[in-house]
Amino acid sequence: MNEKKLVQNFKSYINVSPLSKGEKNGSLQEVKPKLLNGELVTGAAHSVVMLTPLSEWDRGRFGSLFITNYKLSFVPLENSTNDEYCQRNYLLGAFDVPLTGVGAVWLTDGGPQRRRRLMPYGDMPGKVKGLQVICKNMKVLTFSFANSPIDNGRKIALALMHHAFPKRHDLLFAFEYREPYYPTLPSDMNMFQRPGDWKRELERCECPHWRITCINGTSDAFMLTAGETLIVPSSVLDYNLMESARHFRSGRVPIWVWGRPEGAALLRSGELLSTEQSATAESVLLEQVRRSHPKLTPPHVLYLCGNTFTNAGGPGILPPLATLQSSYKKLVELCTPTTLGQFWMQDSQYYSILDASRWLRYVANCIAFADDAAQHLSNNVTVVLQEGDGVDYCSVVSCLTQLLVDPHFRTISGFQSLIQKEWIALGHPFCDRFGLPRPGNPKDSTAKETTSAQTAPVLLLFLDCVWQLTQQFPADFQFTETYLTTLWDCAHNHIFDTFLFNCARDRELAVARQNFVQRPVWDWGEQFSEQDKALFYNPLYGIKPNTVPSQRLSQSTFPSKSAAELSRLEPCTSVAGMELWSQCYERWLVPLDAPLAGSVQYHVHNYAALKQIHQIKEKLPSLSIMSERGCNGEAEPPTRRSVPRFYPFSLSRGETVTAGLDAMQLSLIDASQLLDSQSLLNAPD
Amino acid sequence: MDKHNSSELLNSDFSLSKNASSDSLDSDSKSSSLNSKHGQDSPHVLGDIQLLEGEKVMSLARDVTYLCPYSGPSRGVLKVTNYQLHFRPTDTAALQSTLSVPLGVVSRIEKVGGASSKGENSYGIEIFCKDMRNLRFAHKQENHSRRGIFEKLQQLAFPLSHRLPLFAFSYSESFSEDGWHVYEPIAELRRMGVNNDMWRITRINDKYEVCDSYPSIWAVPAAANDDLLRSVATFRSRGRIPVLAWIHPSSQATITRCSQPLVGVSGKRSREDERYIQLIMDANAQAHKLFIMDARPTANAVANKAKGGGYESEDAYQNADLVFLDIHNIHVMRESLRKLKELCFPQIDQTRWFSGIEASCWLKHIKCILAGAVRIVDKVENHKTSVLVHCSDGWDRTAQLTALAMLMLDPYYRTLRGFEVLIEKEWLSFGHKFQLRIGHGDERHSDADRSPVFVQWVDCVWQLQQQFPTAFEFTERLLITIVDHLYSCRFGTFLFNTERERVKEEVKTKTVSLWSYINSRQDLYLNPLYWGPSSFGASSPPSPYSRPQVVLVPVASLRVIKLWKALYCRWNPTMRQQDPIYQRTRELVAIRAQLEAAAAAAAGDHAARQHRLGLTPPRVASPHHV
Repeated sequence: MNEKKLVQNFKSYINVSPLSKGEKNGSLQEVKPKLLNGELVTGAAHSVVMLTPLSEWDRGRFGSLFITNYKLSFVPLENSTNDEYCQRNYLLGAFDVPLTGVGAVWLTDGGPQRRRRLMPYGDMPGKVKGLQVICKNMKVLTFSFANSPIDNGRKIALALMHHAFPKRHDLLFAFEYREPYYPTLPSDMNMFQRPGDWKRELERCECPHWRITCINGTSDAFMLTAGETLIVPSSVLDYNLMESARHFRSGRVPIWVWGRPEGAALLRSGELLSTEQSATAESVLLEQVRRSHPKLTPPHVLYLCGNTFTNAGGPGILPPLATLQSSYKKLVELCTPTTLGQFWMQDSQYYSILDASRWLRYVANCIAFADDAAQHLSNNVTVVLQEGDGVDYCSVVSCLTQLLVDPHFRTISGFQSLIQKEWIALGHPFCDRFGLPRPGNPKDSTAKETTSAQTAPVLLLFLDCVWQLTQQFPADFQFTETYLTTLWDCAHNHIFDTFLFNCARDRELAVARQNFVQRPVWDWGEQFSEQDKALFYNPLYGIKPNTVPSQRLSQSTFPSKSAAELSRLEPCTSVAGMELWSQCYERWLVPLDAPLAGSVQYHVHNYAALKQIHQIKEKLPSLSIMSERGCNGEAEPPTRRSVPRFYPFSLSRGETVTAGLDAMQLSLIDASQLLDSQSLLNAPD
Repeated sequence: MDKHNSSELLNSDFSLSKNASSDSLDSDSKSSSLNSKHGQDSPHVLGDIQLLEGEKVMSLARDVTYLCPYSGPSRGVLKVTNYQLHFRPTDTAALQSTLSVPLGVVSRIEKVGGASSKGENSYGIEIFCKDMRNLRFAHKQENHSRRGIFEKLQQLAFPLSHRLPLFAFSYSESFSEDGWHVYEPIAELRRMGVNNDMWRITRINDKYEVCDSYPSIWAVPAAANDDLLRSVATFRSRGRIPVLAWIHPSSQATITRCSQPLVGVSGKRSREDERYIQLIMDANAQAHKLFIMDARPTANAVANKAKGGGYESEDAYQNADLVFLDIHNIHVMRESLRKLKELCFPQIDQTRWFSGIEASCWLKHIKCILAGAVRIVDKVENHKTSVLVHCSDGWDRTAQLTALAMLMLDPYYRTLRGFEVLIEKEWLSFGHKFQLRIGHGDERHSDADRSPVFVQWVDCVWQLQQQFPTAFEFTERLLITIVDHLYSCRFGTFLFNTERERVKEEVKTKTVSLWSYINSRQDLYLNPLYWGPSSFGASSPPSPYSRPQVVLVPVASLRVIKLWKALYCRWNPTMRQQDPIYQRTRELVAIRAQLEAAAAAAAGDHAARQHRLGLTPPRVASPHHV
């Protein structure tokens, strides 16, 4: 009833009944996919039916399915107005998936029920009646080849399995894409690629007791997975670093990532190896860290995965990556029901499945660690994060901590700089975690390396944590959940190099040896229009709470807090305070989508309000001049728009919320400052 | 606003009800706890007691320690008035432990420890509250303060058990508006177009003789004469015959409500009842069918036959489709909420949070009720078919379903006043037994008749609000205020079981209505996002019966139904919502209003300026000034 009605949003054109089977090899006209410069079709199947998600057998659309070296692309035979998501991507159509976004492929018998998982390089049965593709962003595409020419199903399955799981890194499309690239990154973004970039950060943080070393860019490099530039205590010599590095996993000695002018700093490191002198090496380094604090306060070490020496575990620690991966798999299962029956079955045990996945528990743990670190930092105590190879949870917790303590990172370019710093420059192994092949000759990779090449959604864990923070502090972040969701989608778009390498070194080699063109994902204009980008900006950002008399009073009665203290966010760290990130995980579940539903309505309303504010502001100067012309009605009357719950990830009805408002404008509007700056407005009535 | 009034507001709003409501206007009250709102914006609220009009201090004990489960023990003075229990810490630094709890929320009081108890704070009183918290106080054995307080508390918290009047009869504050006029049954029926060809108003129950738990005014099919009504009443449990709850403005499909038929094991029939049901069906020309939605699980409906009740057999009632909605009874719901309380108070057990939610079944019950209401809405709206709703007695589950379905169908009920009308009509006038379910002033805390049926319905309303943030004129703050005063006994609104009792006790003249209080400070409850027909605005009468807005069809899935933490976890300071998004939205709206006013002023357009200022009262902009 209810669910049925909603499913009908997705128009059904063809009844996939045995009746239509007569049309095999029919005279249907040819359709072609839209190709990018350098993109080649490697497989095609015609008269394919794409089944409507979460419908029963009889709903779907006819079209052709293509595999290229870049994407999987379904081209429907007839176009419909519902064929676009509200968010449009220049590079991808509504039914396209970049090959790196393909998570799992299942064989079906033509319906939504799964039969068998297809493994890369595994056997392919002689006949393929249907395929189900579970994307990494939890979208599910189900195709039936019951009406296709014989063998089309098998061919397309072979092409998909071959190209979606390439054996060599340089087979990824980023190496083939021929479109020239003109960077248009915001000027205040820090890419953390050169020593100068790190210097800028050091200066921004006003931390004089730390120095830049470039030893890691020389033949003496000891931390192969990090970039050439490292920041270390001023007092420590490069030689000492090299010596100590032997005692840390992956050579990850504690390195500086952020600091306060008052002296406290945030460092991250790998776990200590159980060598004889490792404890000594650690305490020597920590002593140097202490000396870098003007008050010589000893640092506080946070063991994110427990302390291997004292075996101090505890419920709050973060799990091994393999555990995280299986947690994620359970989450995916919960969010990708393929039949309506399964959807309602999961519904009846929703919380136990959620509980069993433990996903939100890990999210809460990360936030709790970050809150702990932020608390120490605001007490002016240096914090050292320590974990495994120092490239996974260190990145998560370090980023979160900085989001809590430094408002700069809560802007869009600040956040992007943060990811460049903590994930890209300091070498989070994206290839390994996303399950991509490693760069270089595949024969080089030895068996021992593959054990560390664990697939794990560490970046997603981080984005989820950030999303929790944006929910808890709706006015403190310049970016929206739509931005975060889009970022997760784009992390699996292998046109961009940002999330395509294990470390800076690999990227440099690719540039030097293979003429690889770096194409940061941060150039959002490559994919999205101004109006779509406008949805990345939080209309509430910068709206300060009213400074009411009572609050001033409180500031006089309680000891006044420092500026740093005031800007620190204190999140709820309890599991009970965490929510499932519905927009990211459940947006493809059609029964949940409904017009006028969900928290997106706040954003829609606020975009409209901001637009009006912008219009009035533009007209104000002229108004005061041409007083008597009777120009009321200057701002358009508030037009309310009806958008569905998962806007802008719902199939569209052709309306844009941000019409007349582009990203540039939005980022410039700070409504509260606007008021202050207009002396006119402060004039008494 | 005059001085007196503002201090009243501060007192009531901040120290009693709103202390921990999620939308509390302070954004950073992280350290506030179980008791009072964090003091920064109203320091004089903390500490000294603020007496309401008609309130008197009845007992006082010094050197009492309040054992707050969150901020630890603090020592101070405990006062008991005829309305509240008030604790003021001696240490001014611990003022956030100020406690002000209406005695109406007290469910049970117990002594802890005896004269020989050893150990700090082991001797004292524990108070169990209806609003999902417990309070522990420790007394000193040597100063004998416990006995006096305990006895006074017993007496004042359970006045009915001690032959004393409820506080509502002593409370004498006057408000600018009299909330007793909010609901006029005739006006509400007129709004729906009754009388019309098919439905008429009857005063057959003027003296409450046909049905003592129904209101005096009903709407029934025009073709049914009074004799028929009387004989139908004999065949329906407690005389609660099918009467009109709501009528669709265009299709004339109706929602009617009643109690179960007295079928019994022998399968009795009543020609009159069958004819009457047929008349209800005939009153809707669009359909040749009637749906009877029995809220109960099938097994319970069958079991009721043994007690003389039962359900309509499809043989006897031709053209009627019987549907069981599988909603459990009051005892199951009470147990479910008890489990939820264990999970939420005092500390949240993180390791079993989600499994605890599942084990409590609370959300499953909510889902079931929502799904039931959606089925009613679907029949009425999409199939233009009338629906008759009943359970056993027709005052618990039936009220939940009809009121919820009406809320989904009719945007009028989603306005602040419309919502008040809805509660007055479907809950109060049709005899939901508030006295029995809540147990106002009654010490029998384990009475099997107590059950959180109404709170559960408010939770369902909250679910609708969450799913459709623009559909309601009011925010969850109104819902929390209503829940608070459901227990507080400060207002007469939720006292007694039936309209008949309220008339007899002269509630309207002797007590104040909750709606007087709420309507005098509406701005606090308005939703900045509300997108509704302006004709339902506060100033215009609810006459135009137009429905420009969509019918709400919520998704009854646990993926969307959430736990109402702002209500159930509100005493836990770590669970406080940090920064409510609609508060920020209000600020944005305020800025826009200021700019608009400025633009209007700049244009020299005086009229436009007045207009805009009128549209956006400054109080919305900065509620702290209220």
